[in-house]
Amino acid sequence: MRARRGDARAYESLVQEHQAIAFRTAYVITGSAADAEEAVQEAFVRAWLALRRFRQGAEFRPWLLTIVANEARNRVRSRRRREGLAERAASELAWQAPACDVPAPGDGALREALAVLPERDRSVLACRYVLDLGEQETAAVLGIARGTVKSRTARALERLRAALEAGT
Amino acid sequence: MTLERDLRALAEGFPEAPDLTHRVMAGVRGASVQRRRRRRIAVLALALLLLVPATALAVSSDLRGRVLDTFGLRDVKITTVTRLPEAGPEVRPLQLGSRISLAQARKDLGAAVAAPTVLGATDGIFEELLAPGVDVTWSYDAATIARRLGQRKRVLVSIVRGTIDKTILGKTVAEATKTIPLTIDGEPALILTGHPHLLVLFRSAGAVGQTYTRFAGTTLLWQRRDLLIRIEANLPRAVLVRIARSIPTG
Repeated sequence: MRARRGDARAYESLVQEHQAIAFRTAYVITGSAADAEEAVQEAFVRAWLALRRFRQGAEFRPWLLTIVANEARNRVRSRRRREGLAERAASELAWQAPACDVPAPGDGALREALAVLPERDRSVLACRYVLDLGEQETAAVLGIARGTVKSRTARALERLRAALEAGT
Repeated sequence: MTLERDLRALAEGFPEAPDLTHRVMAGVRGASVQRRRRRRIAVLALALLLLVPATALAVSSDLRGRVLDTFGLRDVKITTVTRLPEAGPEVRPLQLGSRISLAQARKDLGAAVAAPTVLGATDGIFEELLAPGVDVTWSYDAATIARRLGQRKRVLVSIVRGTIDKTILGKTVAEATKTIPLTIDGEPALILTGHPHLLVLFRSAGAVGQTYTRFAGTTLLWQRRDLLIRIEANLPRAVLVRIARSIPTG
């Protein structure tokens, strides 16, 4: 990997290739486009500085998304400290169905059902379906084992179905 | 699968990802410059740290002498020169003195010494009489060492007893010779290695006219109480230390 040897042009290509998924990941975590932008920018710079530690032959995207997720979480924590938002304190991953910026095309019932799920259920569903990440990448972003991703996803879907049925 | 499809559809409500390439690359360039600057400062600091004492030693032979004195080897005087003198007639081939018995060596050294247990029986014990003391050497031929240590190297194990500080044995080392101080069993020791050095045995209280001088290779010097143990052999440091520690001194 040329970028690993300090080739900035090669790294620029990697930025172009991965910035969209990086932004969506950060957005899911921060719930704010502005915070997501800053998190992604900082994460790419951190990744550049840490590239020498990146294991050759490993997948770049999960590694990058781990850094993005950490950076986004840091932003959420500092925002919480700044704003003292009590309602956010319970959720490490602050993703709410995208009610904040753009109205979702799906039905409101789904968003309401998601809102009552535990935070870890929302996170895993967000990674797997909203971000369309694979199991390995979801595991990297959430910092959990791959097997846990599988079981947690199944349980979260069950709870979401139950919540939807209860709401109808 | 409807539920999964509906979840995927939520992504359509996400704001469009902005193109962050220029901002990221500007950050990358800035970070790289900072990192280079930090590295340069670290390298400079390290170089300064090493350079100051090295320069002080290089410009002052007096200081070098004092530094070597602080190694604390009572019976050795070490002088550092820029270049060793050419080998003249006064620089003689290896002469170990007269062959003596172990009993005689013990009597002259005033200690119940014996051959290093690591090496076993010697090929011969020799003695040089010095005005202020004696220099007794256990000599091992290369063939003997090859059988015992598996390395074909000649080994000389010498024990010196003297009475006058730093006038028994002199070492003249050139700058190419590495002088490595170490401690063995709490007593000061020194390894001279990397380039041959001159060994001077003072026969009469430092009088140069009656010295015995020859070139020597890697040498371990260990001031073990009143005795100065000297091992000359081109062997690894750990082996030299092992040999030295295995010498019974009573």
